[in-house]
Amino acid sequence: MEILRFMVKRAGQAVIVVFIVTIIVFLLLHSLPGGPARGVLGIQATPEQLELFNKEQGLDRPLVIQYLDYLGRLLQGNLGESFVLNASVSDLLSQRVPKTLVLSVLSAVVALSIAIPVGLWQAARRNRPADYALTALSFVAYATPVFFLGLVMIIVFTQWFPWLPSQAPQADTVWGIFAEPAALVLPVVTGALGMIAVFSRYMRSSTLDNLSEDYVRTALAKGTSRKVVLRRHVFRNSLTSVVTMLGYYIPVLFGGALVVEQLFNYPGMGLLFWNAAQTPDFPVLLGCVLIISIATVIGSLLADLTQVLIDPRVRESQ
Amino acid sequence: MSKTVEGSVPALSVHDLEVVFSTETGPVSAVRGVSLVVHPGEVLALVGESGSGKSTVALSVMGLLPGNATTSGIIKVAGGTIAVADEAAMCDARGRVMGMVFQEPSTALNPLLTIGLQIAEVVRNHDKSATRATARQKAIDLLTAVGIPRPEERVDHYPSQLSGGQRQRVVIAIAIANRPQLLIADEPTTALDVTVQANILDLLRTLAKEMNTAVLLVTHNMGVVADFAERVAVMFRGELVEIGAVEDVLLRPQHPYTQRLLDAVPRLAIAGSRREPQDPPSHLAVPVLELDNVDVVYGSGRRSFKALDGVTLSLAHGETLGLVGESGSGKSTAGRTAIGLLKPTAGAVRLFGKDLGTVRGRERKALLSQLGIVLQDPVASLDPRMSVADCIAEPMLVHLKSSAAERRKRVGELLDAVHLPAAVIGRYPHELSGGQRQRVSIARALILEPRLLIADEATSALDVSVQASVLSVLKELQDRLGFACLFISHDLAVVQEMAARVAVMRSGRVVESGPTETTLIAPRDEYTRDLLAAVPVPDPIVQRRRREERLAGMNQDRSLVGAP
Repeated sequence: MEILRFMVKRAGQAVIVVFIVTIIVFLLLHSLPGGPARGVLGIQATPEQLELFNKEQGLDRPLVIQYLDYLGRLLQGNLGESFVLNASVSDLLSQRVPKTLVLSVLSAVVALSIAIPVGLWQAARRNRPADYALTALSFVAYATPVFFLGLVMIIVFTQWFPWLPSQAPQADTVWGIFAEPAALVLPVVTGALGMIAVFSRYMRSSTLDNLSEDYVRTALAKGTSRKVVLRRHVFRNSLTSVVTMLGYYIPVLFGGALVVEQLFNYPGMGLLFWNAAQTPDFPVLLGCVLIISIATVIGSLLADLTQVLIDPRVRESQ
Repeated sequence: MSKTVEGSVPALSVHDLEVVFSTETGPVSAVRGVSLVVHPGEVLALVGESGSGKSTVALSVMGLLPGNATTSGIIKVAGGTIAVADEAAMCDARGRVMGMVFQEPSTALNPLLTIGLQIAEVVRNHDKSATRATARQKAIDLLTAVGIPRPEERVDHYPSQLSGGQRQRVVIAIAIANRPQLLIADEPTTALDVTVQANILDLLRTLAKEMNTAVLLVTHNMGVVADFAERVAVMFRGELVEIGAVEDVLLRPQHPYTQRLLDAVPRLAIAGSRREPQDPPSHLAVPVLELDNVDVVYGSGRRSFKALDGVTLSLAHGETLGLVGESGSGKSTAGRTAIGLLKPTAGAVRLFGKDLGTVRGRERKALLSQLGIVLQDPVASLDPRMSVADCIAEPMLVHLKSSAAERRKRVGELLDAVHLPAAVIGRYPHELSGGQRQRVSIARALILEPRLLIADEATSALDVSVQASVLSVLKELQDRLGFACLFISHDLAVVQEMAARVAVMRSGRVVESGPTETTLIAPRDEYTRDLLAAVPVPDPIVQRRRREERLAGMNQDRSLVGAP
């Protein structure tokens, strides 16, 4: 019951946040110089043609009216039509979003299932050679830009050792993507590497904090072995802060998807966003940003909820 | 006094223990050649000030020293030698032949596991045949034994749902679960209120007697020693300087260090003891501080909490008012309200006759410049990036137009006043000792020659000998400068020493106030009486009598409650 009330409250806050995000993005897009007309019609277009386009799309009206118009249609579930692609934004998104979701979730799962044990292991061997080596490695992965990392992966695993395809699965359906598991490896691993670095560092420091807590000493005084103390007491306590971090990481995950999809020509939302930004294709960009902000808000909501589920102290304070 | 049989196997014997910590600045010798023996059923108190090595001795017995420690010497628990290198043997011994109770009950338990599971863990560690169900039943039995009400329900609670005293009972339940031969209690009541402390000590005493367990009690509190221990070992800078029966060591100390230590302990004056009367404060002038029927409410609606409830206090010029009470009584809230950090929800606060609720701007700033404040934790209340001179001079920068030369001169005068050498002027807080830091706080509070000083647990974090010197500096300066002082403390003995008048707080209300000699010697209020009775005094003979009186009183209450 308490948890239900908490969720309703947070969902209400989430709606407000998404609403504010649409205002900000709308204002930012319309303050871009040039506007979409030139991008859509090309450099050959005459001023009359540009004016006509703006009139047709309603871009000559005051900004407030345009926004209210957009909001009104949004509330009816209408995200508008792409300026460039001959499709509605909703159709484009419903096609592309699941694919990006598959890529991001796979990357996150791979990353966490490596980062969490590695962080824990490093903390248990603090300041020993293995810890130093892994720390150095994770700093390298952390400091390398995703696009460069992806290029290196392509060169190594498709050119020097031609084991994997350099192009991601091109299937239209989500199930089609899984039909080519080999083609998924490079995009998923490229997306995961940076996250492994970040989260193993995070898990390591969170574990170290918890290892110096008094309850660890109490557990040892009971005759519980160090190994079991780590597994039974420290692991779950360390995880609580990592879970919170995960909620805030969703925008970063999307930023990674943008680059990864571009590199491996993966037809997800990232690629859609990238192409739309070149024009600029306002309705598509707005649609994507809307999805990302909703995902971010849901992400932090889920993080809070998980925290409530694993930590009784948070449960009480709600 | 010791009832042990010669020749029986000691529960604990430590022979020639040396502990060295390797640190970045080189090896630090923490324990030097300590030898001691504790027999079954006996309570040995290991006392000393911070850094004396007493906790290090306790942790070496448990084999729980940090990785940078090297130990030598022989430790035997119930006849078996403790070998830290043998992890499996250590795991077998910990929680079975020896249990430990720690200082801070709020952090000693895993916040994410129910207390039942945490007790069951120690049961199942040493009894492989115990199932989940039998271990749970054992946990319920143990909760009953340590006096937790409704144990069947409590067993599934999380530590955060329990009070500090109850958490400490759970820690004790864990320590005694397998009826160990040796119980180590490291400052087991230091984080607790006095009334809770008295109950926890009673519990430990009863359990130890019942199981014939030897207790190694590590503490800095001589009252606790007098209450609980049969023998005392005094540590000073890693060495054992004196060991003997509690009456001998506390009443007839031999070693000069023990004598100095005991001299510094503030003593609670109790009925029958003599005390020089103090001058009654003058009530002619306008009070320096007045709290008039003040309410402070935190939060709003269903979750609101009334921290102050109709508090009325008045402080005359040059007077010291002691504000005492247990944690959560609202004494610190009262202090914060008095200096305008908290706005009263109802009632008025008058500082030097002016209503703090109505004065604004420059006038308010001028009012606030006439008060100084000293807080409990000298580490947290001094900016680590400011030198001692800058720390002390800061109020001058805020409130006065002054030249650098004037400030330097004034800082010099104040360092002198608080008896700090001029050489500390360019140092940083972390380079000073705890007592020196607190003197810097006092110097900062006094630089503007305030008419009112608020001292909120100003000496609670200090060792007794340091506390004594800080208190004497404070008194000397008050005599010279004539400021009024609101002295907030949980330590009744210190308040008796410092304050002419006292107000006792409980749950946001002032339950009793009046001259210290009458209020803290012959209190009218029942709560004040309980509070005073719970304070252990550092005289084992007097304390034994006080304890018996207190327990008799409690039994009487219980029989009254039980009567139809």
